[in-house]
Amino acid sequence: MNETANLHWSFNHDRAGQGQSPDFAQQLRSLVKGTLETTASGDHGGEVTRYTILPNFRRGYKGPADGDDLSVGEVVIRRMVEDENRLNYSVVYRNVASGELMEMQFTSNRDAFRTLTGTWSVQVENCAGDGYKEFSCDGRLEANGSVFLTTNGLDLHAGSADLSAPLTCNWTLFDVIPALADGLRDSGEVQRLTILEDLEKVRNNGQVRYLESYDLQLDSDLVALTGYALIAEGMTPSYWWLDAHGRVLIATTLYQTLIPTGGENA
Amino acid sequence: MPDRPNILFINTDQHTWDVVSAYGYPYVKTPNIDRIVRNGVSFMRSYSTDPVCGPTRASWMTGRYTSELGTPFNGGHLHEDIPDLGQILNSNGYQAFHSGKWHVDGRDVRESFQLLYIGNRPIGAGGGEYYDGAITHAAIDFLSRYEDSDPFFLQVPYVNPHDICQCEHDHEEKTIPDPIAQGILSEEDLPPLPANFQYDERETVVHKVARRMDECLIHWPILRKVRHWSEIQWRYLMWQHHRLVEKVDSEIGLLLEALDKSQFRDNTLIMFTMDHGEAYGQHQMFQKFSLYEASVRVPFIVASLGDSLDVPKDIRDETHFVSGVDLFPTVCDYAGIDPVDGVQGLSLRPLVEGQNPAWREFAYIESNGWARSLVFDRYKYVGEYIPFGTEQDLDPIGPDPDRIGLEQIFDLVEDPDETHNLAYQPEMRDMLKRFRQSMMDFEGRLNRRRMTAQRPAAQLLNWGKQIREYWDAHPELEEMRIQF
Repeated sequence: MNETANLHWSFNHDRAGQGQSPDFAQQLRSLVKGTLETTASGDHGGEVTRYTILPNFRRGYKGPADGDDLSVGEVVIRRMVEDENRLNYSVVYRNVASGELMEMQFTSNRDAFRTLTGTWSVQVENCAGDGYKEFSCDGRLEANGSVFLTTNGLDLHAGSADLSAPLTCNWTLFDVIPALADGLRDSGEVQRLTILEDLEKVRNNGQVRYLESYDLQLDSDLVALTGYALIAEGMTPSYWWLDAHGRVLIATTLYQTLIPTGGENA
Repeated sequence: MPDRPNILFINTDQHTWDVVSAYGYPYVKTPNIDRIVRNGVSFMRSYSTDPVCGPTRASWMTGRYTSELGTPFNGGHLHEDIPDLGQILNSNGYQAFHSGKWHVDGRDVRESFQLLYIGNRPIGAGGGEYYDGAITHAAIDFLSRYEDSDPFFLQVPYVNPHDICQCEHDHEEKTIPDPIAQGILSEEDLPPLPANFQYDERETVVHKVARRMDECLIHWPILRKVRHWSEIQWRYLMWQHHRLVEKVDSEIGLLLEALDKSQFRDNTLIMFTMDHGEAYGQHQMFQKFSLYEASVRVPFIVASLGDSLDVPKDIRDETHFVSGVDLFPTVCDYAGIDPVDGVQGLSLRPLVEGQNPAWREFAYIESNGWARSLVFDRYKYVGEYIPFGTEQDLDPIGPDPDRIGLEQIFDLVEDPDETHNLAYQPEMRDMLKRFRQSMMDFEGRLNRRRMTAQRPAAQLLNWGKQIREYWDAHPELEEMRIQF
């Protein structure tokens, strides 16, 4: 690890043993700096946000031959107001390591948890030169919490969601955690969530809680960040860092770090 | 029963053998692997041939031990002339497909299988977080579309819980607070420290040089940090591993559902295993590369969701020793393919169908080039050969009774956690002699040959040199060698 990186342990992936080139810390700082120059938004209704994906480890990234950009993909989250009670989400996840381009369409309540409602769809293209070219499914939630996915005429039981906690798609967490942030920080309490990862996999017993505050050094400036941690069955911890405007500035899982790179009104 | 059933081979990576709810482990939820367990025969005394990703997979694909293949470690090159399972199936009326991790170094998966998915940047040793979902998509897409009249063999090697390696690498250069200090878990959330966290330090020199000493051959940057871990850190590693097991279990759930709802439900045999385990603190080890049970033991399950194949439900076979070399002949047996010359494994089909064939007396395992283990009904023998430290190390390693180094014996009935090395007890001498002879006899039947591929040969020479240097630097070890 570059000792001068001086990044918080949860997103310091600037490592010596399996170090990456281009440099992770430099790329992270550059991306964060760019984001801070954009205007923050409040409700997120009718908004598009983009996140670049930095790889936390050299696996999945081949090095300088791929150019100066460490990014291994992008996430684009679009929210459209359906009515005063509902939002329509469209999420595009592109990962050049896996080769998959996933497009997820779903509807949520316009509440703090973006509670999943109605049916949803997932369409995937595989951009690698493999035999598998595409996958698509339509999803539904039954009253007892059973999640079903239908693909090519097969109706698959994808698991049972614990509906005693709000059920939300993992890609709404960029909105959910900011909405809960102040309350979690001030109370020190835990918010339970049930997560439908990529609209396909049920993650019960989700818990999001305040972690700590941290000042990220950017050149001579310090950027105040507030951190939150998320755990669930079937998920290793992920860490979510919000800036003073309440935006997720850095979200990091075991393998990927997502940083906003811009957005626009839909 | 169909003459030639379809076969779905599923495996997880670095999955500790007993971390399965159906086997009674309380700190993980695996409803989908449990479903495979309920629908078949679990061979509970099943072992990896060589507890590392590449070597194990080379054995799966060829039915031979890694010392016969040129693959004693990751990066070893499978000898070009040895046929693999895909090639054999494709030339015998099956269509062989692959979706997932390959890692048989020296062979392009495309030479042997119809490739459904391996990733845009081909799957290496991690990235289950984003590769495993794609592996499932490809396999489900296949099951929902396959229309050919030929039976299929579909192998689906998942990456997780191998991502646990990155939890370990993550500690190399930085200090990560334990989860209680982070405030994200309480001590009650964590599984207990393994009962065999404390261990008998009388281990083989290969193990010390590869995994224990300063500047050890394998993952020293991790070792130098975990030496200072608290018990909570070890327990947190277990906790993270178990979450990754749950993660891959949900992928397996979707895959099983697709099979269940497809036209292939009743005429498809499922085979499930793991390539090796994760030690997460057992014997204060992490990862694999050792001959302890946490590293080498893996279940092997033969199952069927339907009722038309002759596969009994929810059976545990605690008697027969199974090895990674058995996958190849078992698949061939079910596929109606004649035995292939040079294959060391045995078909599990007679056992699955309730017959009582002549069977092996022990499981044989290799590790890190020079280390060996033979697991018998009650006792487990671990031994090693002393390298020459010269070019001669490229020649087949063993059998050679004069080059046996240090040894371990564990009583798996009285000491299933392998915490007391009995090799130095005088009353075990006859037993030790018998174990050595079994190893010599067994290895005499293997088809080993000189390592020739340049880079693997260089690695083997380097390892041999360093292990030999340790012997030379510690003359007191000679006195620990048990002589007859």
